[in-house]
Amino acid sequence: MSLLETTDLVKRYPVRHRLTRRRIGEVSAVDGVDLAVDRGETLGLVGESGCGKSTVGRLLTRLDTPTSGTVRFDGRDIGPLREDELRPVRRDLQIVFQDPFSSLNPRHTVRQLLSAPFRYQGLEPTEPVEDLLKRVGLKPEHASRYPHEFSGGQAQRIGIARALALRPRLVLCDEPVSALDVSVQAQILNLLRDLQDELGLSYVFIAHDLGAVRQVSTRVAVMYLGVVVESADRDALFGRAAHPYTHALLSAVPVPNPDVERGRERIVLRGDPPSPLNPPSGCRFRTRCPKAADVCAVERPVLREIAPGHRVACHFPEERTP
Amino acid sequence: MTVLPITRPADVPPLRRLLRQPSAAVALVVVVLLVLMAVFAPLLVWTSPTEFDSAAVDPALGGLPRGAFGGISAEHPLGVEPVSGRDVLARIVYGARVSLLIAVLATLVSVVVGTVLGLVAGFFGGVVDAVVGRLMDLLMSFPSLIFMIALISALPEANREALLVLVLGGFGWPYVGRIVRGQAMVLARGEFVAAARALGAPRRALLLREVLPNLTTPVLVVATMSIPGYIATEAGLSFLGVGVRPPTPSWGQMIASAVPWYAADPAYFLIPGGFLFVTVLAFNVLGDAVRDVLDPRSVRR
Repeated sequence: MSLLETTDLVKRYPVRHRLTRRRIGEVSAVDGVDLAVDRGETLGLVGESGCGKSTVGRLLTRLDTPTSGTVRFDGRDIGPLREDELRPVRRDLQIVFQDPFSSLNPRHTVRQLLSAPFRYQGLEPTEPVEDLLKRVGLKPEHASRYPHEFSGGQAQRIGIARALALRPRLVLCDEPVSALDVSVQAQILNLLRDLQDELGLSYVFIAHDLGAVRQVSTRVAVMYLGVVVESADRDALFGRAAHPYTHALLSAVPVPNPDVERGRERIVLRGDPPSPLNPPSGCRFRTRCPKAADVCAVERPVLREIAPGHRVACHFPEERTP
Repeated sequence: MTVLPITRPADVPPLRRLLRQPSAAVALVVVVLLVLMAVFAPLLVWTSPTEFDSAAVDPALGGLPRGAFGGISAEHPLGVEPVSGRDVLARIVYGARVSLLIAVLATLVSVVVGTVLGLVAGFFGGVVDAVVGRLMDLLMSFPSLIFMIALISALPEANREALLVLVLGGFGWPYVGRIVRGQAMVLARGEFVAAARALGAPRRALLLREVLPNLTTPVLVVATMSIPGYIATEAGLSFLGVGVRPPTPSWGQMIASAVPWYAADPAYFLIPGGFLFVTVLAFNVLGDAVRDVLDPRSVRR
């Protein structure tokens, strides 16, 4: 049994009329997502902006309530739990946010920030603030400072220390490095990996940077407009992707070798993703898909296994090496 | 890894940045002097503000003060009141007590009510926000001055000072509430609140520990800026005869009683008028400066 598992997860937001507040439609942000994260594993969740990956993150950590479907953590459906019932679950399920500064209260010192997890859980601190700081590579004397006194990378280390204070089993990293300088990104990714080995953590790693995802993930799921279009082990996804959207994503990653870069094929998708207010019928990717056929407009492709552990939602899957 | 000290505007203590502006420094000195004057009133003047001095006025001239400039003398440094001969300096000093106390207490009432209701409305939204929002709209569109005059005249036996504090604060809190509501709304959707929720923080902690500390700056700014308005309104109400009741001295009352004498004894009109003008100006300049220092978005160059 997986540590975290979602089945047919759906989140729709009502759109209301400005004056009458009547429901005039809905945004379908997440539309039937199945994911599974095993113990000690890192699931990379990729996709472009607005594809629903962050909403999935908010549902997994119950910052938002699913419209339907289940989120099973350690076998228990946490979707319908009330906030007081969730509190003990939250010890095992933590988040690292994208922007380290906006996720740290500017009026709290590092000491207050790092003792908040215990205070909010009604627990005696099991780990001194100084030890938490050392674990993420900061100094004990940083405890009395305020977030604005740190660099972005250091602030993100504080965010990580806070997420780890309660010794969680799963940490959701929502674009944890995309707000940081490239040189700092690698440090943070290495820190996350070291902590995973040390503490036996599982991660859900949300990102749009395929390089970072490749570095940290054991499995990868690709999302497009609220659905998972392909999921596979890291090497299978980066080596033998089968969905046309994944092909396009992978071909957009620049290769740091000019000769290879010049010679390789780039798949450029035309247009923008359709509005989640009114998603296309059938396959959601068909409006931009180079392979789209009549069947794609009629029948929604389901995720099916084309190789062990490799699942694709496409009528015309084709394994390709990028 | 070391943390390099970066000097940005936010690192310079706010008070020092305030004092860098000459106008703000002068305003702060004036305000501090006024407050000291009000607090230590009994030590500054030995004359009682209600003590008559018939020797200082000339009954032959209809009670006009003896001597130039409203009877300024060593005994009465700012002259005396016509007819009664009460000491103007004593009345100014004790009047400052009343004016400042009412303005500060009214500000306190409006800040407490405005912060609590604004915070709750902005944080919870929905029905709570709709109810608080309509209440604020109602109070802000109300002809408050006319209502105050009517209410205070309708309750002749009430403690005027307490009533003024309640009425001024009661009509003033929506201005605080509106700003707090907007800020609380933004903060409640912020990532650090989401982080606290993910840690299992109860709602009370989200409101009091996460959101409230981030509201101190805007609240301090509106509070400083609302004090001169309350001072002026209190003076206005006293001028109209529905403010502080005699014999308790008040600047507005003094100005009102000076009106019939403006030609014969202009000093009696100019002295309380000048004090009111300088006080309101100093608080306004200081309020603007506090806003500039604490709120980087409103920097004026």
